[in-house]
Formats: sequence, structure tokens, C-alpha cells
Amino acid sequence: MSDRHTELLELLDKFGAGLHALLTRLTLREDVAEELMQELFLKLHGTKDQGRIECWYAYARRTAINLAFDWRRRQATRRACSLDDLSERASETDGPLGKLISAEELEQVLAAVGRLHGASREVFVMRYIQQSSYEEIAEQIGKTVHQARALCFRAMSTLRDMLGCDPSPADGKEVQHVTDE
Amino acid sequence: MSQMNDAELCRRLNVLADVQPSAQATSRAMDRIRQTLMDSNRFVARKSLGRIVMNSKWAKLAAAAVIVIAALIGLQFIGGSTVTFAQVIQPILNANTAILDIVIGADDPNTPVIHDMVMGSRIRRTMSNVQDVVSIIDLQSSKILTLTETKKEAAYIDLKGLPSMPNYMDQLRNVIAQLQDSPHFVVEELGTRDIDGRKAVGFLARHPRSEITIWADAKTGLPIRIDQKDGQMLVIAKNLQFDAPMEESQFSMEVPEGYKLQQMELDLFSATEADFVEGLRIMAEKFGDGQFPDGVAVEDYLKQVPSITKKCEQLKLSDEEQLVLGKKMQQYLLFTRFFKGDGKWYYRGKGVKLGEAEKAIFWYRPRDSKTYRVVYGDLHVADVAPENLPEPLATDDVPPASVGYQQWSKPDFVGSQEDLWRITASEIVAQSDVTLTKGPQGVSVMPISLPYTTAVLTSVSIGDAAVPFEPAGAGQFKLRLPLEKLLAGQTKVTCKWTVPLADLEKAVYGYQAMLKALVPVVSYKLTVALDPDSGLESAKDPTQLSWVPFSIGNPPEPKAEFGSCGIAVQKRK
Repeated sequence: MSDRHTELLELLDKFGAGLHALLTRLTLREDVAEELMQELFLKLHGTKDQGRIECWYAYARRTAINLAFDWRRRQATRRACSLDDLSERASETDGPLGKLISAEELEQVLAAVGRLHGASREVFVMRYIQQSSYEEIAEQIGKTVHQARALCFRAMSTLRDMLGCDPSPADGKEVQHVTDE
Repeated sequence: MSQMNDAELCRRLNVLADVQPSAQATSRAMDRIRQTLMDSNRFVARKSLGRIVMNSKWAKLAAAAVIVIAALIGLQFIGGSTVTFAQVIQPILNANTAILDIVIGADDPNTPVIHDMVMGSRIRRTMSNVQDVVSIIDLQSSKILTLTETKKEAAYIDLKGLPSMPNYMDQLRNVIAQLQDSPHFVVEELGTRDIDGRKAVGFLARHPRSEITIWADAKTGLPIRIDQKDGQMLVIAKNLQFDAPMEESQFSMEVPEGYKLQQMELDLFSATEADFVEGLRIMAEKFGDGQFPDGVAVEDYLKQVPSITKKCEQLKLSDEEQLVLGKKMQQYLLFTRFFKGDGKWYYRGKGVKLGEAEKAIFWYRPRDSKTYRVVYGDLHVADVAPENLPEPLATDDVPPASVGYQQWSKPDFVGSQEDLWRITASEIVAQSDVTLTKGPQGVSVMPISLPYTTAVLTSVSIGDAAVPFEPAGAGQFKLRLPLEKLLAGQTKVTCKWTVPLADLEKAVYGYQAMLKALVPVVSYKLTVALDPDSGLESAKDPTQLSWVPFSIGNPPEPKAEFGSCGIAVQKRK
């Protein structure tokens, strides 16, 4: 077996589950996530050596995010439901309608995230969807913690603008975990 | 955009973060990848890409009577930029609809623009300089429906010879499906520039027969302009949109009520030299006031279409005559558009009047012919040797080698080598035959290293032609290769050199030979032969005068050093 295959197997063993979970969160489809995993490792197989396995993971994660949002963009024209019609908090029922509304709420957020560019999108996904710490993000993207924090803050600000977010919460209290510390 | 507050955004993000695939789904996804990696030495790229191709609704291949765009793209990922080539081509690979403008030749305000809408297997085409005419190209049935709205005229054109002619999007998919294994495709990054007010990153993808440059939006990675060199034609695609919603009715192949219908047939590869000459005559006589057109390429004809159409109307031709004329003009265009000769064709008819017998207006080399066919101003055609052509051939007009040398973006020369070392009483007289397969683009100086620093290069040749060389260090030399010979298929470089026998490492069994190729190679073979006056014999079989102590083929990657091997010789008893 070639060195490349060994590296990819090691990457799969160590980070495969996390990558699959990431793809599932970004596509909300297990079947699509499986296909994109295949595509992801296809790309990894054809790319140049990234060196350490951690570098492979950073590259793989970035590629996975791009693959997921490319898929989302292709699907955007096929979605029947108008996201702009949804403005109220969804019912918390577990029934089919509740699940449908819930899925559309997530689609709305993901659609907005998809409009972030490059590094903004990547750090946003790492922070708010993968829930990585600033230290982890900083290490992954090769920046200081301070820089990582600033990137996350700017990405969130941009997303808020896209979604027309009223910065004050419904009950008037500041929401600490949305406003970056 | 809907309004929500921070708390709601936070809630939704937390829900998203909590989304987890089932354990079975994760296990299945990982097992699938693991199985593929374990089962083969290479990732089964074709399967994934084949799936993309096979799931596409796009039919095989088609061509409009005017334009065919073919592209060959390299998938070798260079990396180093945020937007990658792989990202850039994804919309192309996955799009089900596309809108694009096509310009042939120069991208200037005077060049007509072809506007295409593509959906499924059909293309809806209009041209900026031809009003009221719409063409629907059906790739599946290999037909074109052309509608002239003001005159209520329609024509069905049956296209022959299509299976080998890709349409724009389908060709890309088919080619990409093969690229994983091909060493011929190389992608180079071109940096950034402004395209239509947007910052764009560029990628140049090369293939021996074609070249494509894709400029993509630096932020989104979506392609915004694609330049393709297809033979002598430059095709520019711009204003690209993928997956835009479209109405199926715009692509209907039904003739509207009240339209007068004609039926035609077009064999894309049927054009002959006689067709082309006849077309030249018509262009001069009927449309050029006795003068040949400024150019005969497709883009030249496109510019002339409005004036040709006007002149056709003035001719007051019957329907039958118009049909015959249309057929002739199509054949005339097809000759250069789907050129079947070798190398380039040359047109020098601008300003030449019909009847000027001494002036050569067009020449080309038929496939596998040693001579050129030259068309003169009175439209007689003669066979002419290359050295007697009106002008020298273009420097890039060299037919590609069917097997052998190709230029690439890497800095190395690569080939295969066979050595014959003749051992005399005092020295090794060696001949190294290096068959080159790859070399850096545009580079003709090839550095070589002989196996020994004390070795002396005595001659270098390709066929009967000597190759100049100069020393570049101990045992190192620079060869000035004739690129045109390499590209023409003469790829064996013969290097003769000598080294004193005393400079080989002595061993109990004879000598230890350094196994070192002159350049990185994919195979290396050493044959030794004993000179009758050497006073030596083979230690293994005294009757043997030559043998192969070492050979290797297909190392994991090209290399120049293969260690050493023993040459078992002894003094003749």
C-alpha cells in the first residue's frame, strides 16, 4: 500500500467520524454526507502531500466545508419552500410538520452561512457548528487566539446582517454565547 | 430577508451543532472509503467521476453548424491558493443548466456574440449580429431547428458525424472522468487579474492538443470566463451562469404553426478541399465583388454574416437555389472548422482578386502527406514541397509526436535509458541511448550527469544530427537539444562517453559499476560487452562476450540513481 493510502487511512481513523458529522450538519442529509465523504477522499487522494496528519485534517475540513456548500448552492434552486416565509420561531412539536419547519429553519441559517466567504465561513463553521474553542481554531488556521476570536466575531456580525438580526434578544437580556466574549 | 433575534439565531446554531449522523451512517461511510483504499492501489476515481458523468442528462455530443467548443482540462491539483482549480470546475461538472456568451477570436466590440442557453440535451442559440434567428440544438437527436421569426421560416438540420464531437459541457465531464490517470494534463495557476470589474484567479490547463484558461471569481470560485484554444480557433466563453431556472418551452424542437419548413443534412466531417475551393469562389464572386474574404476562419465568417445575408437577398435566389448555396457555404466553413489535415492551415487571400493565378491564397498539409496543397488566386491547386511554400511555417506548427516527447510544467527531463559499456583494456567506452518522453515547456538545454566525475562526453546526436554540448562541471554537461526534432518524434538522444577502467571500484569478482542515468528515467538497462583486445573474460561464462548485469523498469517515480552492480570479469586465462 502506498504512503498516500496509509496517510488517508490514518486520517479516516482519526478524523473520519468528525468529518462525516460536519458534512451531515452542513447538508442535513446522511446520504449526501456519505457521497461527499467519498468525494472528499477522492480529492485528498489527488492532492499534494500536506505533511503532518493535523495538516491533512485542516485541509480535509476546509475541503469538506467547500464541498458541502457547493452542494447546497446546487440544491438552492430546487428547494420549493421559500425561506423568507419563515420568520417566527418554529413549533417545538415532534410531529412531521414540526420537523419540517425545524429543518427549514436550519436551512435558512445554512443558506446564510453559505454566503460567507473563504476564511470567514470556515471559522464560523468551526466555532458555531463544530463548536471548536478559539484555541483549536487558532491552531487549525495558523493564527493567534486573538486573531481567531476577531475572525469569528466578524463572521458572526456578517451573518447577523445577512439575516437581519435584531441584536436585542426577545426577552431583552443579552445572550452571552452569541456575543463573543 | 426574514427577521430574527440573536436568541433565535443562537438556538438554531445550537440545534445545528447538535445534529449527529447515526452511528450506522458514519460507519457505512467510513467503511466504504476504507474498503476502497484497501482494495486497490489507487482510489477508484473513475467510479466517482463516472457517476457524475453517467447521471448527467446530457446527451453524447453535438455541434452547431457554426461553433463547437471542446475543452480538455487537467485535474492535477497544484494548490497554494484559496480558490482551487478543483473548486472552479465543480459548477461546470455539476451544472444542469448554463447560460453563456461565446466570442470567437478577439473579444472586442466588433466581434459578434453567440448567446447560449443550455438545458438538458439542448442549446438555445442566438447571435448578436443576426436578428430574429433562433437555433435550438438537440444533442440527443443530433438535430438543429433554426427559426427565422420575421420570415416565418424554419429548417431542420440533421447532423451527421456527431458522436466524436462533444458539446461544451459534456466534453468537460467526459474528459474530466479520464484525467485522474493521465500524465498529459497539467494545471498551472496564473495569479489574479481584473475581469469585468471582478478580481479573478486564473488556471491554465494544458493538453498536447488543446489549452484552456479558466478565470474564476476570487471570492466565490465560480468561473466567469473560459478561454479555449481549439486548433487555430480561440473560443471565449463569458458571462457564465450555472443552474439558472429556465422554461422548457424555450427549447422546444417543434416548428411553430405557420412556419415554412425546410429539411437539411449536415455531415460535420464531410467537407473536402473541393468544397472549400468552391466556397472561396462563391465568397469572391457573389459576396466579395471579385475579391477574396479577409479571412476564412469561423470568426471571420461570423462577422460577414449580415453582409452575406443582405447580398443573398439582392440575388433574389429561388428557394432551391438558396438551399444549394446554403449547403455550399456550410461545407466551405466545415473544411477549416473541422480541419482534417496535419498542423496548421494558412490563408493569405486578403486583398487578392479572383483570377490572380500567381498568388497563393491558402495552403495546408493533408494528413500524412509530405507536401502541401496550395490554392492560388485563380483557384487552381498544386502540390508544393515545404521548402517551396510562399512563407516559412509558423514556429509552433509542428505536428505532435504520436508517441514520445511532451512538454510539461515540471523542470525535469524524463525518459528511459539503455547503456552499452564496451570494456577495453584500459577504459570503458560507453554509449547511452536516452529516449526522452518529457521535458520542461520551451526548454531546450538539458543538463546531464555521467556516472563518473572523471567521465568524458565525446559526442551527442539525435539520429544523424550532432547535438551541441558544453561542460558544466565534473562529469556534467549541458546539451542543446533541437526541440523541433523531439516534438516531431525523434526522441532518442545518443551520448557517447568514456571513463578510465581504473576509476571503477575494484572488487574481488571484477568491478563495481555505478548505475546512474543521465537524466531521471522510468527504465534503465545496462549491457556490458568485452572488447576482444581487453584481455578480460566473463567470470561466470568465459564464452560470453556480452551480458546484461542490470535492468529495471517502472520505478515508483522517475529516478537517476540505481545504486551499483557488479561486473564479473577476470583476466583471460
